[in-house]
This record gives sequence, structure tokens and C-alpha cells, in this order.
Amino acid sequence: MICEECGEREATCHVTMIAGGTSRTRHLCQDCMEKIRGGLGRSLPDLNLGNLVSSIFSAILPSELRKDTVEAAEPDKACSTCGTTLHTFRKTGCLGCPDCYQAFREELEPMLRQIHGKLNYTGRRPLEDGEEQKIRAEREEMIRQMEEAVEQEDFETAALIRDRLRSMAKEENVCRI
Amino acid sequence: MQNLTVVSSRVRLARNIEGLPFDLSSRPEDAQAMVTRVVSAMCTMPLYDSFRLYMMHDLQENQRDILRESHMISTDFQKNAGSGAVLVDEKDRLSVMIHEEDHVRILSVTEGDDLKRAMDQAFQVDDTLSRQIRFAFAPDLGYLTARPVNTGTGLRASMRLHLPMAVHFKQIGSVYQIAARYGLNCRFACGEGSEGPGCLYEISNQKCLGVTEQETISSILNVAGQLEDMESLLRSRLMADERLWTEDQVYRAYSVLRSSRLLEEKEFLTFWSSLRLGMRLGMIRPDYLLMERLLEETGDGHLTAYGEKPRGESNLSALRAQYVREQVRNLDAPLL
Repeated sequence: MICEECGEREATCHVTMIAGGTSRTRHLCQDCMEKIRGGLGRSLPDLNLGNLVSSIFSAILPSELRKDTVEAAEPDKACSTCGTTLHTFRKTGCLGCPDCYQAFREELEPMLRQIHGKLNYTGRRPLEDGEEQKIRAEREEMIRQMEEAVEQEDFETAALIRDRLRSMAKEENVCRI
Repeated sequence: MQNLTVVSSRVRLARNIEGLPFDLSSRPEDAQAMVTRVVSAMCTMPLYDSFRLYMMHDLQENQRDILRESHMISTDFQKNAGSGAVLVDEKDRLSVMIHEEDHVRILSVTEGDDLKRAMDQAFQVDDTLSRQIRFAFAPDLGYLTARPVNTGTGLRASMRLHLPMAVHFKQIGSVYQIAARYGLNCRFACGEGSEGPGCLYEISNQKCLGVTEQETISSILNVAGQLEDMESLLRSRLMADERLWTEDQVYRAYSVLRSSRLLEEKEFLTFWSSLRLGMRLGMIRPDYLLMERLLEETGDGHLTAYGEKPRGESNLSALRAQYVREQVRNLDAPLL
């Protein structure tokens, strides 16, 4: 999400203001957050975001609407690859992309330990490295050729490539249990 | 020896493709490209010709119902498939969902207690795909999935158990305890709550980290074995204490399923359970495959399809009764 203030940087701070039954959430980057905080902060002693926003609302709202609650989120972490924030993850329970595991590692580890008991992975692994990568590249090329042949309606060639791919799969004795 | 308490076994593997967001619903081109990529990779699998590809948005609600009732897609996928697709083998025993919660979810089902075979089938697909596609994987955390609950092996292995004795003797609490002792989840499989018609329960693993796939399977087989022992003991007690009542229940069920004209789902499950118990007790000639199939094929989707031409019937209770009558008629006469 992009910062509402500067429209450039990633919004990592989310401030929700609730007053008189209406709420508004602002999404700001760290810099803009600091600017707003700094600009107003000089006139307000003992500044924290909660005080800041409730002070503003106290000043502008009539007394009967001053049942303000202010939720000030801490600066939110975000995954630099997909932009998913920690807040979103906590809300939905879903991570955004594989890189989120690195971005939120600190928060994820206790959660994973709680769910699974242990953190060490002992299961099977994908086919990887060296020879496998070469074979994978070769196969990808063959699949590309096969798709090309299908596009050109050269089904005979496509079937030949398909059969070669299958016999390669068979030779490698598919199961690695 | 076969564990006849187990009705069916299932395996699900969750996989994601490296370098892409888990949710591609806002990137339709990438989503479509992924379907092509997975399908291309799958076509190198021996016996691939037996798979059918369905784009979920092309399917009618009834066709989706049939796939869900056959356990070839999940309930969530049926509701929110979006641009998702599914590859299903001709026997409705193996499928690959594309764009479920994770990019790829492999589902494998076997009748009875053959969880190992279900696992082998799923691994075969996993290997085929991982030869062509690089899955998101971290050496210390295993396969990286959209939800942390699946992180690691991405495996959910489960068995559906028929536990009429545990229900009759009010021992379901012990069933839950035994499952929990091995770190397994246990749930009533035919609706909300902990008890209901059918006496069907599902045990499944909850851990995907710190255990291998084989250890997970062993725990499930172990718990299923203990529950079969428990059922067996309780069956002996039932026959010693309440033989006449039990015979009455079994033969009533046999008669109703062979002759009813209207059969509600709950009612069917109750009689199905008594009939299967009769097979376990040697009162009815056993056909456990038929019993498993009846569970699937009496779902709304299957029945609606069955009710179409030439029958032209749409009342599901009537169709259920008619379908069950046809199927149960093939069961041999009672052994007594």
C-alpha cells in the first residue's frame, strides 16, 4: 500500500481514529508519520500518537461526541517483495508470498512453534541442485518446444516430445519416498 | 490385516511456486499462466491422459458439488475458486487444484485404510511437478505455504473412521483423547458438534514441522489401529449384552434401505451406519467398497445428476431412496 500523504513510499503506519460512531484509517509511510508527529508534537508536551489524536478530537468535537477511542498502530512491518503488512497477516492469517517468511521471521517463529511444536524441518525435499537443475532446464525447453508445436498445429512433433518427456520421467523411477 | 473401521483415507499436499504471491486473484494473467504451467508440467506424468482439466468458472454448481462430494476439490475451492482450475483423474481418486489457498494442492483418496497408497499417489504428482516447477522451499522450514499451519511438509493426511460402538457406549471422549495423545485432530465428519448420524469421524495430523511424512502416516495408522481394537472389544460387549436389539437395528436398516421411497440425508446416514455395523458383526455379507461409494454418491450433486434424464426427478429424498434401493439390492441376502 502506498502512503496517502506523499503517494510515493510504502505505507507502514496505520492510524485508525474513531469518533462519534465514524472511523477513519490513514495509511502513512514512516517519514510522513514522523513529519506529522514532529510538526504537531512541538506544541504538545508528552507526545504519543494516542495523545496527539485525542487532543485534536477533543479540541474540534462537541463534548457529547468526545467518547473517542484512538487506536494507534505501531509502525507496521511489511514484506518488501509483496507489500503484505504484519497487520494484514495477523488479521487474515495468510502470508502474501514466500518472502514473507523472512520478513516476519521474528513473529512467525513463536507461532510456528506453537502450532507444530518444533521448528526443524525433517520432511522430503524438492528435486534440487546440479544435475536436477540441468534436467529441469532441459525439460522446460522441451515443454516450450511442445507448446510451440501445438500452437503451429504440428501435433505429430508435439506427441513425440510428450512421449520423450514421459519416458524420461519413467526412467527416473518417479517415486522418491 | 486390513483395518475395516477405516472407511477411506486421504492425503493433501500444499505447494507454492517460488517468486510469486500466494494469491494471484488480482493478477489474472499470472493466474492463467500458472494454470498453463502446472498443466504442462503434469502432462509429462505417466497416465496423464486419464486426467481431465476443469476451469472452475466454466463449471455449473452441480458439477462442482460432484467434485467436492468425490473429495476432488475442497469446500473452500468450490465456493471461491475464482480463476482456479482442477485436474482430476478418471477414477476420481487423484486431483490437482490450482489456485486454492496455495498455488497447488494435490489431493489423493483411497478406499479403506490404504493411506500409504494415497500418499504414494500424491508423491508421484509432487515429483512430476517438482521436476518442472521450482517450489517455494526453505531448508529449515520446508515447503512455504500461505498459512503457517501448513508450513513444512504441507501434508494433511486423514482417515475417515466408522465408530458406531464408541458412539453407542459413549466413548467418543476417549477417541478424542487417543487422537490428541498422538498429536492428531479428531472431528465428527458429518456436520457440526461431536456426535450425529453416521458415526463417522475423521482423524488427521496437525503438525507439519519436526515430523516426516512417514512419521505422520504411522501415527494415523497407529491411532486407527487402537480405535479398531476399541471398536472390536465394544462389539463383543454389545453382542453379549444386547444381541437381539442389535440384530433388530441391523435388519431394520437393511429393510428400510432396500424399500424406502423417501430418504432424508440424516436418516440415510443412521441406517447406513447400522447396515455397516451389521457387516462388521457378520449379519450382512460385507461389501465395504459399496458402503464407501454410497456415502459419496448420495450427495446432492451426484443425486441431482442421477435424477436428470431419463428420470426427470428433482426431489432429492426420493432420488436418494431410489439410488440406495438400486445399490443395496445388489447386496447379498442376510447371512442369518
